[in-house]
Amino acid sequence: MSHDTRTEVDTIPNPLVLDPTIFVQLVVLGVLLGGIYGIVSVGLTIIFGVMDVVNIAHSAFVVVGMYTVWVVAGQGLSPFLGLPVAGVLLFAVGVAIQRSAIAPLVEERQSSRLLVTIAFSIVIIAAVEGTFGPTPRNLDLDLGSIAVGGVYVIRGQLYALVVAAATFAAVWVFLHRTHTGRAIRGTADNRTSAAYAGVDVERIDALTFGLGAGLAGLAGGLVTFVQPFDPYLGNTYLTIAFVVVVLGGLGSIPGTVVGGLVVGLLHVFGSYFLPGSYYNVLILVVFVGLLVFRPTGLFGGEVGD
Amino acid sequence: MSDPETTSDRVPGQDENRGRGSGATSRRGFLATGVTVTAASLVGCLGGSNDPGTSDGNGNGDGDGDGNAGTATQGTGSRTTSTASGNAPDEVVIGTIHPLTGSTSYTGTRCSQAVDLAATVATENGGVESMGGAEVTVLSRDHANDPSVAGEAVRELVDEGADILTGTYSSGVTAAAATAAERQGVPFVIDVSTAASILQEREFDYVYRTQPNSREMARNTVTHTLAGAQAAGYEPETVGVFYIDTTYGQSISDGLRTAVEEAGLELVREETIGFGETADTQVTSLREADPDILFPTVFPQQFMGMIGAMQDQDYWPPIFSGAASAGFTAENFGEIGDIIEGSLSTGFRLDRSQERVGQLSQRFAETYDTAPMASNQGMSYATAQVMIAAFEQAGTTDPEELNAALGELTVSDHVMAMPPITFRDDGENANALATTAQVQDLEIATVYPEEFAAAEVNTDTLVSN
Repeated sequence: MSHDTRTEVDTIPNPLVLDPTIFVQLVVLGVLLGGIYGIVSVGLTIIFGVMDVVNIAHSAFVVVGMYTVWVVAGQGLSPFLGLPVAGVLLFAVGVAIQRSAIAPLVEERQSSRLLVTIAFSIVIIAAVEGTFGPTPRNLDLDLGSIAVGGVYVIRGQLYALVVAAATFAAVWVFLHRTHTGRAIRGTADNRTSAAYAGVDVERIDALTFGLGAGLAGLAGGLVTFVQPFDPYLGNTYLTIAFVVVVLGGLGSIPGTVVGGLVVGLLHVFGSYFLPGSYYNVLILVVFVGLLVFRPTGLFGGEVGD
Repeated sequence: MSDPETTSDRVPGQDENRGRGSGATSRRGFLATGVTVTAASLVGCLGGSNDPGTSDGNGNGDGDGDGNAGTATQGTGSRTTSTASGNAPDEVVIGTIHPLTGSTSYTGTRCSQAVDLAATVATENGGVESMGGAEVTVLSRDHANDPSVAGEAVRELVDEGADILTGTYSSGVTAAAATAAERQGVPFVIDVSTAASILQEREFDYVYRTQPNSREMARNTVTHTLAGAQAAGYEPETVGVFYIDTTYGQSISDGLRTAVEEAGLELVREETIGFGETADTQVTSLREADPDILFPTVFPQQFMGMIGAMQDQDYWPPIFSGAASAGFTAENFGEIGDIIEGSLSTGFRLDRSQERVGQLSQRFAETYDTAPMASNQGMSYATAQVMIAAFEQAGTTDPEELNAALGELTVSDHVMAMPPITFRDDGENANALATTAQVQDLEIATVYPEEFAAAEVNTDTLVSN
């Protein structure tokens, strides 16, 4: 099936002649988008880092978070109240899934645990679709934007960025300033040594999976501030999350933050200057190029293959 | 080598001394999984070429967003007994292929239900008279926006007795299904799929289309928009196009590119959007280019996202004219506000001047516990009317006779706002028509062409200052 490609170059903005206001606008959009990408990805990197579980159900957790906020807002409550509800709900769901389905497979092949997460993803998405239907939803927030000299800062995205930044800070404090957080980090570094040191590794796994799921739920809730959503939107963010996590360095929270920003900026600038969905090519080129020169990602340490 | 201090910043550490169990996963494994997921998502996106085909009451505007996907008809009662002998069968079977699951399943299910309703009404009215009152039944299959299952769906339907096929609300799937139907020698009448290439870039003997194709839709869009601009005393010179990056969006944009050039206008910016994306960057680009007319071609979700982004950036073009775009529904207008007033929307539409259209629409809502019929469902219903007329004219379920009847018939008594449906040699509807409506008092009113106009174009609101 043919599609005439754009051959008229004057329909594509000229990168050499870019209005400074537009440039700043694009930077703002990239940072805001990058914040979303970062918060969506952090749960994925935490679970993988501690448990060696590639959690495909991450996308489903994000989706559940979206609909949780939507339901809360539908009760006449502020959608901001839906964020902690989403986080707590998904934490509980994550713990339950880990205890019931993943813990028994801790010594099994990675593919077994992967299949379990895929199964949960399918079931959860189907349940969401069956409950809420496939029709896209939209929080009726009408937050507007803040205009500064021709540059617009979209409020919904700004709020999402602020919450994301606060969440990153809170997670960092938890992991570095609490006993449980240190136990999680110790388990991530060396499960065997942590066990010998008296850490209840099984409990840590459950808490970690719950934490990762809760963060995914929170991220999903923030997505509702930014765009319409449906049961299938999680897949889009899962793909992005994989790129962000590897780009930032597997298991690195600062790396996830920076990776999210990098991908967000590449998305925005690529979308502005390149036709169609070629910004995806730009992201992948940078992604592969970075890994060639820095295989562990931006903040990754050495890994064993 | 990682610094032990910086290692502590990485909760899920990846040092060589992690002492993992037998289930250890390498970075290579994570990357492999990520690549697999990405590839699967891309395949899903490529397969997800969907088109609402219209701008009026489509997508989530088909209802109140209640998300009721409805139920798919999986065949009723006895099977067809089409025979090559002169004996009339007890029933004739229409096979439908629509997305009954996935992101477009709401509209796809309703399209399938519209065909089912047409069959029910025809049976209530005596069935196929030339076949002794044969009942009209429907078998349905789900394509889930995956072109690779189209061929199998066609084969299954034909094996189960379908005499004629229709579908699919996805240009990508339709192309595959049409090819499969052609091979089977079974007539296939496309209800909702806009890409002109389906019939224009290959020759089919058994495939027809009732809706206007993308080139016709684009041409109608530009022609009617310019007519409105002229009536308003406005002389646009530049155009911007914003479309969903699927076969549907691409085909309409291709048609717009040609129609814009033919009209002597300058295309100054094209922007695309994919599923799951926000529209902020694209709106920034359009704001910078500042075209006189903006033609969007998107699904409901992207429509609302685009409008939201435009409002956030305080941007609105002088003329906003949907080209076969979804989202132009009264429900959305209430959410969008007065900014949408005066905007245009081109697409095929139900002929609401017919009293029976309102009655049918209401019956549709009650029967399937869903919103009233909208334009896509109307086109599916009209297509079913065409197929039933073909059965009537042929007097047999023999595929060759049926195909010949399709090539010859003219159906005047249908529910769409277009002239009688009759097919050209290439299978396209010779009288396919996309009408243009305007948002007036936050309701949609057909304004072009005059033959189907319910109101005059409001020149005061057409052009935004």
